[in-house]
Amino acid sequence: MKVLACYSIKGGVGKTASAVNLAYWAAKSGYRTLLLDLDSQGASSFYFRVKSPVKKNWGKRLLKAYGEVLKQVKESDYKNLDVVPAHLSFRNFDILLDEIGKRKNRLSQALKGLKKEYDLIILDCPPTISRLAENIFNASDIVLVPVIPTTLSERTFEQLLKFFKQQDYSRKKLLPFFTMADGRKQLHRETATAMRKRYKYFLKHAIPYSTDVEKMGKYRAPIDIFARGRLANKSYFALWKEIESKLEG
Amino acid sequence: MTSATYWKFTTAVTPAEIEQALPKKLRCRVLEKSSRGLIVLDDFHWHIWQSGGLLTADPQQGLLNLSIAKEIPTVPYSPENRFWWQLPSGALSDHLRELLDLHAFVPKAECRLISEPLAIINSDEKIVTRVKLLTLNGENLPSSTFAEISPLRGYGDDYTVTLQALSLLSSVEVESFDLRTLLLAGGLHIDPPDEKDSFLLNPAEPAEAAICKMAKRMLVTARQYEQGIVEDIDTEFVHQYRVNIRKSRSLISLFKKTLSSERLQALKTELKVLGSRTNDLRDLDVFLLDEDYYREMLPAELQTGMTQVFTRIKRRRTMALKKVVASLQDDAYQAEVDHLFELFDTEPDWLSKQSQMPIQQLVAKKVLAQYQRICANGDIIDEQTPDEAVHDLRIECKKLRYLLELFSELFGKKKVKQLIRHLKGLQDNLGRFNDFSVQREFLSGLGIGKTISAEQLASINGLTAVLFNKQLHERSLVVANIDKFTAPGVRDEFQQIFALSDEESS
Repeated sequence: MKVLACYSIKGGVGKTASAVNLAYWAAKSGYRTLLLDLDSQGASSFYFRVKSPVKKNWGKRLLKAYGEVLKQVKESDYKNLDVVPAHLSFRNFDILLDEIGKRKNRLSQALKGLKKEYDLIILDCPPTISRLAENIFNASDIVLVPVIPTTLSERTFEQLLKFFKQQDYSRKKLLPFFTMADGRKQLHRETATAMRKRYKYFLKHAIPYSTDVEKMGKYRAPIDIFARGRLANKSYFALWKEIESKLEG
Repeated sequence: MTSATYWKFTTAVTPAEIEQALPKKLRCRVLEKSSRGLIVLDDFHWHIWQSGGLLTADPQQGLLNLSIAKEIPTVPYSPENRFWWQLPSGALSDHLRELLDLHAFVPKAECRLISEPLAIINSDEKIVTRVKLLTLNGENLPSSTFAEISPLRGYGDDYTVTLQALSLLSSVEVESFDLRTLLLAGGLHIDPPDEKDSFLLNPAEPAEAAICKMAKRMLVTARQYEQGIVEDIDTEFVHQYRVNIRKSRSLISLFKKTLSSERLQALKTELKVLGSRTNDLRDLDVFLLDEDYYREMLPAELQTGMTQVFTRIKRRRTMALKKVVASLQDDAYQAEVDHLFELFDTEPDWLSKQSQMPIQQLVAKKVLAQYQRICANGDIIDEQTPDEAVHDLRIECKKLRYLLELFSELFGKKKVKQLIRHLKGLQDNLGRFNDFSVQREFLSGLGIGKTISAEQLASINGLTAVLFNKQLHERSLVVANIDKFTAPGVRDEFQQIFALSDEESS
């Protein structure tokens, strides 16, 4: 079982859209996939039409034992793809982590028990650099970082790199890729070129700026369901294939 | 996680009816609907079905599919192909060869299988339960609907609600279903011919009544094959028709002393006439079935002549079949059969001592006497004995075989089977010896006539020579096989089973 996190310090960079579409393609490629929506806003749960559990404090339970995670699993409409929906209590992960002990491998422990049922866990992460983030970095084999090719995003990516260095996490876990890339904008083109030059490990495939990504909210489904032939869909598929080769490599 | 459950609707059901039965918060959406034609194929005996398999053809896609325990690839289907050897070689034809041998597979039922996957959705339009409706519509089959209902993880409550709704639609839960269950529930009638190998004999039953009852049953069995002969489905129909008549005849002649001379004479004559009608057809069938075998025996230069011979035989076979079909549909035939049944059904005459003997006792006596006869006749056969004696021995062995097979239920089927196994070794040897001589005789008949080409004659003569050599080889094995069958161990076994104690024989 591999764990893939979709993570960025910055919000609104296409984390959830990426988590949802990549989870969809992974499942379609035959991986038994679980999408764990750790963002209390629950956007990826929304796209898959699954609802938050009603139980209180389930965030705490999630971090305690995988049995609790399994109880919250909802089967999506797509073969091989299950979802653990987000919960409002996920806002307080950091407080919870303080309560139950400051260990950085809580999440990793909770996910271990899922390996019998799943080949791939995708974490849709909240935009925060905190104790939860550290749990996520510990639990993940790959941390996917969506980056909009703008100056601001470049800065946040650098912050993340710095954090990884300070905390002594392996840089190799990080796999950045461009999202919302708009080829018509000079800034996007220049930033992308510069960043690719500096960080050779950027993924080759990028996700273009597209209204089809935005339409996911309207259709409440992965792009392949409502815009099969469109560029955004093809880009996500190509991105998935590139990630798959890294997972297996 | 609960797995899917399976349901059968006692009346046809539509997605709209399912939605109506669901609570308001749930709706039913048809995902896609597909249907395909299906032809169920099997032989007259339902050999495929009886083995647990199912042979179906999809006429639109032109595919033939055999469902057995393991998965095997489909092959192209064409209605003209009715035998395993007409199919492309591979797993499917290999399995059919094992299951059907010489029997043809023919359409048994035609229907349409309609598959309707449905989604039960909640107010978020999220699928909460999956339902797959399968409906079978057939010309001769009443329509029936089955449903596979699969829960989705995390939506147990909605699944329960769906099940409750479906229970309102006169459905019953079934263990599971596959196409076989679907077909059976849809009214597919499996009607293999009645070929029970047991006659439900009472050991104390007086012989005359028992013999007439058995001989009559065999005639009834034989008649089940008439239609297949008329339709010329496969060669096994004529074969089985003849086997049953021959057995009936042999039974009468083995137990001739149990019958009055008038009844015996009438039965013997009429059964002989009945059987002889198909003699020519069967001889030609046997020759044609062995085409590959004959061709393999001949060098390339004699194959042209052989092709001419087979063309001629095929023509003759067509004529012979026409004659048989006409005779089976003749009023005279029906009258003969009716008369035979009358003869079987006539009250016993009880004229002889044997007619009143308990059947078990009489058979035991006959089996031992027959075995003794084979031992005695076999004893005088050596390498130089004329062929006639060997042929006679074959006939005596055949009589013993019938006695053992027909009456095994009276003496323990397992024990008798063991004896039959001993006998079979000798019989196979004698059978082949006889076959070669019959084949040679048949071939020599083919060589007579003004229109026979030189090529044909060369092939026939070549073949005769090969067959003669094979026959010599078979003859050289006869003495050793007789010795095996008449050895003290086998004699003891016969004694143990058939030498009845006084108590049993009284």
